[in-house]
Amino acid sequence: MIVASSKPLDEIKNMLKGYKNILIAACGTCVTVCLSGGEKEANELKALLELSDEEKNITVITPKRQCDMEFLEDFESEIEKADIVLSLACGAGVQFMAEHFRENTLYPGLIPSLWALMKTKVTGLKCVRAVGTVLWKKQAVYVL
Amino acid sequence: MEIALIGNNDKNKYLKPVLTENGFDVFLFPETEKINHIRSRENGFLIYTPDEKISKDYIIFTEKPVFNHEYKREVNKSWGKVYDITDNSIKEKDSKGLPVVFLLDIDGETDTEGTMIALKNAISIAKKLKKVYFISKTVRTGISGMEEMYLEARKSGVKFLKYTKADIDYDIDKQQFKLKVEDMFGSIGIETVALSIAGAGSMQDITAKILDDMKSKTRDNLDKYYLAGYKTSVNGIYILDGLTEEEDIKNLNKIIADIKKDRQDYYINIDEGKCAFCYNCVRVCPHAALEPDYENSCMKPVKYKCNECGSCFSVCPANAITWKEDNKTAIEGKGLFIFACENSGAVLINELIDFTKKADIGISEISCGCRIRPQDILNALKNYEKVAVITCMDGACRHIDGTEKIEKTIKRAKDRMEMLGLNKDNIYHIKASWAMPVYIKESIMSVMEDGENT
Repeated sequence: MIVASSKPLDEIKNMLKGYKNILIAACGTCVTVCLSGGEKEANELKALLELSDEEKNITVITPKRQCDMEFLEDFESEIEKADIVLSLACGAGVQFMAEHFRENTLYPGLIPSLWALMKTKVTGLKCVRAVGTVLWKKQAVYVL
Repeated sequence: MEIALIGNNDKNKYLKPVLTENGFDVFLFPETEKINHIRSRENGFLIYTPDEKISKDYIIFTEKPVFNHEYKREVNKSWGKVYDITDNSIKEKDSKGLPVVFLLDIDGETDTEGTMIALKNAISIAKKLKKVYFISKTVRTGISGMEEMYLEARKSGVKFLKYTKADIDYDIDKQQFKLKVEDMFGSIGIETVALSIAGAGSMQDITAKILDDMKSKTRDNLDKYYLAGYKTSVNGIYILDGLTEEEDIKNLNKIIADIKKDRQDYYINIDEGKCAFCYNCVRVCPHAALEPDYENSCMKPVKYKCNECGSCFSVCPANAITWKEDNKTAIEGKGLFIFACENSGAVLINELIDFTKKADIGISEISCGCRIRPQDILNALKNYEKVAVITCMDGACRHIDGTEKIEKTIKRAKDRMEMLGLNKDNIYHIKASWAMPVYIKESIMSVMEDGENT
């Protein structure tokens, strides 16, 4: 499972500057469990962005996994319609979305930091290895 | 639904028709001394007498029980006598230079929960540079964290007194209490306007008498410090101790509403498709009302266990938990939106409805502070200038840590707003009790008038 944290909000706000129809794509698996990119966080981000700029038209989608075409097919029309997509998935999700739907107007909204294993049901996570900031640039995800 | 009305007095005459009208089978039980004990079963109670066991779904006491059973403590504890004789606004603002007194009137060993709550309140008042006395028969240090609390209390200036015998007197004109506290070495007298008594020990009768005096002599201004209670800490057991028929009927209607709500098997729905099977809800549920369903890889609720506290809802990362019923929005306005916890703030809906209509306030009744998320606060701010959340006082949440959770929620909402450069000073948190309508009203007024955080 991948553990990530949210990018600073002002950075996200700057990324979205100038776009009106925004799609926030949450991801329903790893980043949901680590409380950074699930439907709940996406809705919170939507409320926050709408509060700061009333003119923005924001929609939220939550495919079970963004790294799997099976779950993305249902949302194809929403993804096509939006001016810009803010993906709250890990590097794999961002890469997959970009390859299949759009190259330029897709931004990652998270910083994946760890790969983690569920150690037991009660104690939670055991951290394994760190990754880093995801930058999307022309069909390649660089991990710093 | 079968309900037992226990008590030998005239109240049965006017209570029975109301209950029958609402579809209850009423069982009158006037001989309270015959009851040996009461046991709870899956969805109701068993009343044991020397001759038989009687099975009933709900119990209402109209008289203080004299029997010795396992619920005695809970029922007696809630028996109408308000612990905080004077409300906290007096303690904090207008104590006339006299000390604030906490008196733990418990024979034998002090109960942990009560001591913790009293200590927490004593510390918070002492920190506001007030003189605070903490008087008890024994000093309880049984559980971890307790000794640190005593230490913190001493550091903040709380004075501790141990007593063997105490006596209270109330001067109704001056609205002042006179305490005479004795131990084996001597006695001292303390005067105060702000007195909290917890427990039901040897001074129970004197306290009851004083409260009755206060109630009868200041009937017009009663709500200031007294509301007759109806809830006990056991779901399904209620008490009715109003002075008048009107007061009792009002509380009975609240009980009926509570029972009708209580009949639900579950309050939540879990979306199998969304559930990430992360176990967060199982870990936090204070009522053990969720269990894993390994076949479908999702959690499922357990029948009749849910208490509608919202702990699971607040931690579910996948938004898989939804409520069967939405929050009840009572009134709509524009200036201020209030999320009121039903245990502390629901009094607003019932008592202050006229005031709120005039003052342009929107209210949503929530079951507990856990039930709202940062996004709810942010969404409310889109339509309203200010948002306030009313929850129980520290340590008083009848579920678990609802007040602490809402503090975190508000902090998260404020932090996120600050990151985006939005004004975060328009979110307020009011801690109150259902027995403090005047305090709640004053707090709301101050929220509406200024930008100062309550």
